[in-house]
Amino acid sequence: MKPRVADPWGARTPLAVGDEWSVRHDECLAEGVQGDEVDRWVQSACVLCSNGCALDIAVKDEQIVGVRGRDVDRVNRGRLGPKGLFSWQANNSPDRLTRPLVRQNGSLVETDWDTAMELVVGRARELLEEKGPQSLGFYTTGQLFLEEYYTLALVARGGIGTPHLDGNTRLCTATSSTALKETFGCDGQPGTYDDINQCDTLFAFGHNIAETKTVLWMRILDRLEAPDPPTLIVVDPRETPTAARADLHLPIRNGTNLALLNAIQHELIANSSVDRDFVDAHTIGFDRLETMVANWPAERAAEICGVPAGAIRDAAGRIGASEKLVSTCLQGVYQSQQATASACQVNNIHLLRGMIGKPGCTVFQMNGQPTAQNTRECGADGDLSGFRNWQNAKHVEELARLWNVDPLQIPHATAPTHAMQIFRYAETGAIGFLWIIATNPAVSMPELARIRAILEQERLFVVVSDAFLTETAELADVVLPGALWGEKLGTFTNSDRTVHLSERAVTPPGEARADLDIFIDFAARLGLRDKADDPLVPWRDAESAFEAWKECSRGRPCDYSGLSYAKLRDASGIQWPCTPSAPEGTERLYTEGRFPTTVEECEDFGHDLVTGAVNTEADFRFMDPDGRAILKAVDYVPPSEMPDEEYPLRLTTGRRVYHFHTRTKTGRAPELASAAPDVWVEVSTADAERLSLVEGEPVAVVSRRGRVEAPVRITDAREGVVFLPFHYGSWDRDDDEGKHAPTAANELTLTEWDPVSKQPLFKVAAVRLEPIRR
Amino acid sequence: MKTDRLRDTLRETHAADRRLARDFRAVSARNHEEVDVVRMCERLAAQCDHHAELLVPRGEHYGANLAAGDELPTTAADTEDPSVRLLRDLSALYLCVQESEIWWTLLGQGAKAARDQELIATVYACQMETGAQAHWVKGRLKEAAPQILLS
Repeated sequence: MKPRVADPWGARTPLAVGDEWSVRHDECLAEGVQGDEVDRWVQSACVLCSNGCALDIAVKDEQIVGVRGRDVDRVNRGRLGPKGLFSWQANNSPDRLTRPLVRQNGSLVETDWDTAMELVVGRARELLEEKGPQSLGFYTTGQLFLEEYYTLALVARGGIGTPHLDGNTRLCTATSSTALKETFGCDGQPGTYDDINQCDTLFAFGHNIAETKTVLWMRILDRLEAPDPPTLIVVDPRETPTAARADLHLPIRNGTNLALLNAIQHELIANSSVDRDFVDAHTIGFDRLETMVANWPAERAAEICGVPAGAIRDAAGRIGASEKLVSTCLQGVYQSQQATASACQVNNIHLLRGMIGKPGCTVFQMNGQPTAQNTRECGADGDLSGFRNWQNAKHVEELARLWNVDPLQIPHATAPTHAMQIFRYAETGAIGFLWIIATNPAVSMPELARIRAILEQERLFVVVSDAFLTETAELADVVLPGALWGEKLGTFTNSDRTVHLSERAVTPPGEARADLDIFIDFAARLGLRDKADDPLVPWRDAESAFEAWKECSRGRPCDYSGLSYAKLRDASGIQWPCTPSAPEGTERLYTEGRFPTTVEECEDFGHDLVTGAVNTEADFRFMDPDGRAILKAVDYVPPSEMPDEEYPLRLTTGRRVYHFHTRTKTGRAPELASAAPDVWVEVSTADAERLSLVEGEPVAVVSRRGRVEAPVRITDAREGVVFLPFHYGSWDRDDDEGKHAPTAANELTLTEWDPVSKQPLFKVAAVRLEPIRR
Repeated sequence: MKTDRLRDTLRETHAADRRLARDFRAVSARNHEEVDVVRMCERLAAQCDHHAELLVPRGEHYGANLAAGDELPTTAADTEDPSVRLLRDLSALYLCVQESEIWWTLLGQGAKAARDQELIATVYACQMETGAQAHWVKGRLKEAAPQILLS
């Protein structure tokens, strides 16, 4: 096993407060290639998670032969995680799609681009004429580049005029964005990674940093190894590698986050750990919050969460005593019960403590995918481009002006349709054309039997753009071969707002094309035009798309107007907002305690966090935050599917260190594939004993919706909780019959979503374990 | 203090929330394929039940036996197109929530006049939730309408 597979985080370089993080140079070259044999190194960044580690791509004989971390970049200072080190090999995989495919007599056959695109455009045109724009839907990703998302948003919203455009970011960071909007008025990560260097307390809530963000975890490990380490508090039902390093670990029952957070706030208020001056000057909603959490003494939460009241008090005490607090949330919050409400309570903690917008003080509502931030900014998800508010007529007019279309052309009668509803419309037949771009819903969405049934419908025309024949592509009517990272030019933004340029290192294989070119071609063939009868998409390449985006972002919180390709080539990553008056970018937002919560600025008027009911402009004006942040108070509501006699265990799903999503890339990197080749199910020692299960024994995990078969791994997880990694679909199972035991965790998950962020609840299904007698 | 009318208002408010609970459940059952509608209607039905329960002790106090409330007639299911049915159901539901809301308003005014602190607190909490219910029903209706009305 290669050293970085055995130890994903590599050697320590301790980091004390006030020091600069030292360089550690990570590099991986193909077997037999020496550094001096590389023809050229090409600037880029890693696309295996949202950390956005800067790297250079090694090219030899016009092939990618490796990567090295960029020492100059503040995000990683030369480091790369195991996924980043090895996944470039997927680009060279022999099973890349190199020609378009179309379905003929039930099977997919190769064809040329003209034939494939005419088929796509022909079906789109038919439906537009017969049923109108609302019969077309687009389901995109967190894997493309900024320029591609912005183009797609223009084509779908400004050109076709459909509200049905969303990203798979709905499954990963919808709650992050929603929670930021609810509390601060707009999306955008308030802090910077440097805050981690400076904090004295680190609160990781439902975020297994060690496995999901390996290089961020290296930074934290380096802090923990320094003479002045921060206190690490971890909330996670599982004994993760992150939890193993914690000073205090609260292994709460999954689905009970809000109860714990209300109790922590109860303690903070009871202990007078509230910065009253900050709260009075910079927030609204304190009285309601105080009344709500008054009902949540630690004992009450302890009973619901299954952890001792003393531990809750201990956590609150440490948070209350900290002078520099950094919190981070991820899927343990976002994919769980009361997702948005819980994420907002973590924001609340920072507001109560007055710890936001200052060095060492921030909350990270973390991203998952590498370019999810751009899906959100560009409006290729449930938002309008440039963090614009669909209920703000002026914002819609600005977009219409930028795109030279009528404001009514841009759907804004209601919020842009979320992914779960797009699939529901495909199920009812309301959507007859669904274009799925660089994502694999046949493995990643909840309740897979249902998703497959939707995609298999004869009446639904499915287009899939991907680099590989994924489980989803297998169900398509047309498959368009996409260029991957390293084969196209563009930019993307990480989870601390750092923008990186990614150069084209090599040409795509065969006839594969960049998604940008595919979208522009689609718009031209469909004859989409603006008011002046000029082509709707006025740009032809990535750089001109970026220049157009700069105009779209100008004056908005995500302002890119001071950036250019030349500047990004010159420097390394730069944090937005980057404007003529802040040409080097902006490290922290909200440094003056002023938030974008005016009617004019805000991206959203907010929601009732219990029902998800949308606030109107009048509701927002009545609330009158006027530049202050909004403390949201919500009572705990138990999950709708609780364990019972039939299904007595709580299932949670997640990512492990060697893989990303459905392994489309990581499964094609030999080191990563062999490190975690197949599915397993984690069971607590107590449950294993009770069910007489032994390590490695195959079991069936069964829910009301399906079953998965997997060998047992006995762990220190809390009793009653089982864990399945969600990576394991069927593309690499070879079996004579084409049939094999199901391994995808989402066979079991339920079709239910957070009422506010509409993010599916992947972490609260009830299951049972059944021995498999062979 | 003459409280007959306050008692009657309590009775009406109680009945309105019981009807509303029934209607939320009926909409949930009739639109069982819209999972978000089902989950939220079920949750809000339970909320209405809870509202009605909260009134029982005050009912006793004013001489209304709310615990033994009459059986409510069930609303009949119809067989029209499911998406149109969703719109119609949510529209009707919105009016039911408004009916409940106005009863809470009346009851709140009566509670203040009677200086009944306990009832004032109950009305305050429940009426806020009723407002959120209306908000949700209207929002879900607005979300569904553009697609359904033009297909």
